[in-house]
Amino acid sequence: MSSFIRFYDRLVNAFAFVSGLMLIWLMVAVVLSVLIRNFGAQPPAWLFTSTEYSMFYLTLLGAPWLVREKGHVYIEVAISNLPPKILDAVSRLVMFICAVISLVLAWKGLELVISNIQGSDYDVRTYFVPMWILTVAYPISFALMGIEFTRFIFSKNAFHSGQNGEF
Amino acid sequence: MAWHEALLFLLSAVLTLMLIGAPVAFAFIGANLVGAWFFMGGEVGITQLLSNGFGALSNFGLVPIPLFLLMGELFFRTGLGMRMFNAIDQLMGRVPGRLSYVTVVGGTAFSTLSGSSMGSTALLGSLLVPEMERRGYKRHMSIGPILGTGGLAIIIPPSAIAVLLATLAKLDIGDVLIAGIIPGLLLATLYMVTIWIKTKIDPDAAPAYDVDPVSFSQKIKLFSRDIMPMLGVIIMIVIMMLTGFATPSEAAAFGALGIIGLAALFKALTFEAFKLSVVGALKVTLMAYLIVFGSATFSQLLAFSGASSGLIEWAISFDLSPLLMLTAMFLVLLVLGTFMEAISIMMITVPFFFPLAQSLGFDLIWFSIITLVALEVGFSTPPLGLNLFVMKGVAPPGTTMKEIYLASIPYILCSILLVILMVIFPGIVTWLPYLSGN
Repeated sequence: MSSFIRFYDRLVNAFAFVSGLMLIWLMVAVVLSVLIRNFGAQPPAWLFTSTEYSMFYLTLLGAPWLVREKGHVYIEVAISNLPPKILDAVSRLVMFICAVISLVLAWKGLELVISNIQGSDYDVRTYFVPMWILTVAYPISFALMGIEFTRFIFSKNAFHSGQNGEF
Repeated sequence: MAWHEALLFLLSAVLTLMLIGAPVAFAFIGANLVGAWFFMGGEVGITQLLSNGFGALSNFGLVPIPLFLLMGELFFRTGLGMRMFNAIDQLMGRVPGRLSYVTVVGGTAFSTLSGSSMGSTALLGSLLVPEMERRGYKRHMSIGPILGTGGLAIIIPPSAIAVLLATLAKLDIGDVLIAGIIPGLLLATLYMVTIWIKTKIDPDAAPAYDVDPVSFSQKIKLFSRDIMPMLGVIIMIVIMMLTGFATPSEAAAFGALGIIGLAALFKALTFEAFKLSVVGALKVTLMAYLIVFGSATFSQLLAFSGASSGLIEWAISFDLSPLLMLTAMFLVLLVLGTFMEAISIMMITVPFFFPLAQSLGFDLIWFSIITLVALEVGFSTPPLGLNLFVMKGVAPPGTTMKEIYLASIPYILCSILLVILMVIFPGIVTWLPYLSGN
């Protein structure tokens, strides 16, 4: 079991790593396209498309890791003065709600992927990209977020302990 | 369902989830799930939610957000920020209230680049308040300017929040960023005047102390080595956007690259600093983008259910003067800012306020800067402004909330004066973007 959990944790970390690489890629791709343009050439269209897809993938691939890191911002005003036991119960209830939301979206995401494959749907920008290659990120990401929220329901370390970053 | 019932239903779903502590993104996504079920045809609505999310995220206009954040993180983690801060400090010489001015100038540069109002309040508060205390400054001279600089950061480019507002309101991102320059500089000037008046009224509030004299040649060296290059990156970004040489996304990419180049030049670019910067930028980006993911459907639900148009028609039916309507919208933003963070407030209000502003004949670029100022004022407005509590957390022990409240008031008044000036002279905001011909 523990080796499975270790594998799972590494998987979430690996997705976050890819997410970070995509963030760097945004900078590289945009700089490259401007440089190519200023050398009088036409930047390849995939460079532009890759930045748009990167933002979609990086959000979904990194989001489960951010749940684990307690990085999703929440509002503290109403709950910060609750007695510790009640806060703990509210925190676990909130994690349950978030887990349900995530798992519903994972399920609907999977349905979307299947319908994209069956309908041979394409995202038409500069290229025809099979839609499922993109939407497959939904069931993966939301399922992982669902698992991460579920872990907080049972974990000793409650989600609403410590400070979350505010934007 | 009547529009007001739909509105009440959607807003109470979001607010309830938020108030019990659900992550903001999930408060919106949860409300979307229920709303999509009711207003968009059951299960089909939920699938539509996912499709909307894809459209909202794969939008090139959002690229500046992670890149501005990366820039800020690099600026902070590589020590370039402190280098600039120290140089500004030394250049000020023996001006009375010097550290307060340093806070405004350095803090503005710092929080502008760091892009996070609360992050910079925390950092500047923990860094500067004890130092100013040691020099005998009264607390209102140290805490006030720090709370004020957040207001500048949100409007002076590069501001990630301004990019997000422009995206949500479907405005030209470059125009909104450029529009913030003159109001930002004006607000900085108002802060300086406030400090000057305070030192005149009560010279003991900021006692003068001896500093090592800095020769003219040293000053030139300090400026050209420790300030100009960093300032140059910001100016480069602004000029790129102003002249239309690059889009905001492209300018942001060059900005991030510029800071990497500078850090390398100063031999401050370690692997560790780079890694921490990417992680820091990634965290805020993921958090913000997941909220954007929820935003597409939320605004669609408000439109589908008739809530947006219903509320807007209702508001117009009062036939109030545009100025009164503007005041009402400003107050709503202010109140929301006392307990919510910027992105959530924008997501809730933009679908109503921008169409309303348009129907009142307001210039939307001008209105977006008013919105940004209102957001920031809300963060520092007693008794609940979020920045006030951040400050309480990092200020020296014994600092009371009353001291923090009193310190914030003159700077809030400056922001309100700025809004009044922008209302009387809209050109303060609109001149630069229209000059650039974007």
